Amino acid sequence: MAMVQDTHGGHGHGHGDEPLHHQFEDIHQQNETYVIGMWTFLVTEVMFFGALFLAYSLYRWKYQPDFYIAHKELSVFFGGLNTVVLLISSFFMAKAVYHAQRKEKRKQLNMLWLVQACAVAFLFIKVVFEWMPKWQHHLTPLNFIWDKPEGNAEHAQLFFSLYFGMTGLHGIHILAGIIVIGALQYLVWKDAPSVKGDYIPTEMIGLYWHFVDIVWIFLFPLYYLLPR
Amino acid sequence: MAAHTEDHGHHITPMSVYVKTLFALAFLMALTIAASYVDFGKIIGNSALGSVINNVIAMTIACLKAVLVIQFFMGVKYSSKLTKMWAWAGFVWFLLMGMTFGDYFTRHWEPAPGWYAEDTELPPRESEIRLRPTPKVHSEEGGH
Repeated sequence: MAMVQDTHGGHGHGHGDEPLHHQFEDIHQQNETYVIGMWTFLVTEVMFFGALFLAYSLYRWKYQPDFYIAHKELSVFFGGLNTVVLLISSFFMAKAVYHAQRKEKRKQLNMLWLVQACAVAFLFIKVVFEWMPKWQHHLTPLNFIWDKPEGNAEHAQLFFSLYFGMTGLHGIHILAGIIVIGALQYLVWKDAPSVKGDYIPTEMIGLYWHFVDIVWIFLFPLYYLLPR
Repeated sequence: MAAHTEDHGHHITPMSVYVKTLFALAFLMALTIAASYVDFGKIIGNSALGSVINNVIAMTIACLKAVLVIQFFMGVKYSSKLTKMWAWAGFVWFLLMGMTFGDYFTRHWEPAPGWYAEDTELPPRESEIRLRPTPKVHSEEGGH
């Protein structure tokens, strides 16, 4: 990714083992093109999530006292635990890219397995300890009943609709990550030509995974740590 | 940017950078949870301003964490100028969000269900019918 000066001064000399495609001048240009393409996708994701963050901010501004009361139904412990799980998974993903760059296939695959384990753990915690109890307590948008003595029922329902919409969309991104990382693992394992000797596919999936982590970094304080 | 390079021309971030980033992120997470339990409203005796302080602290820490992830885990710090510009441009959206806020708070809005729920006489919404009847409750602050 780092586009350093080509010390060889030529067009791709000395990069014989890098999978350079004919439309690119050299491997730097090719890698930069891939990375910028991935960032373009991530920019659309920022806008996609951004609209939801905007909706959240407006209603939070409007109904802060009710949102505060509703947010007490969420578990800071499991939210925090999931934050730790995702941070660690991001670290493993960075390590996977590191080993891909050094062409250490075995270690790269091991790191990707650890990322997978974290992703599954995240979804497990999310579904079993957070979403399912919310269903039992009638707090999902589908079966919402607010029988607490305080707080406005409609505003509380709005809070939980936003909560399920945003954490649900984030969960779908985790699920997509599991599938994409699985596909990458298969290709790396099989020494497929599209990934052999090229760290960029791992790098791009890593960028996606870190982005999903960033979304959670914002979701966590916005839903679990509301001030009065 | 040319500090760590190999013959293949791509930057390999040293493992120590990733480890330090992970610890910084974990520390910031602990800090944001701890800060959320501090009621600044009580400390300074102004609950509205205290709430603002709590929010500013939480969002500042979240932004710091995001910057750490972008710079080191995603390696934007070590990437080309074009990549840097393109990556950060995505977050310009948040500036646009501020402009949207300006619009929302300066414009006179037509009453719509859910926005001015209390001061308009609209027919009951489906969701109101579905809700279990509860005593008409408002927050202690006395509503809106």
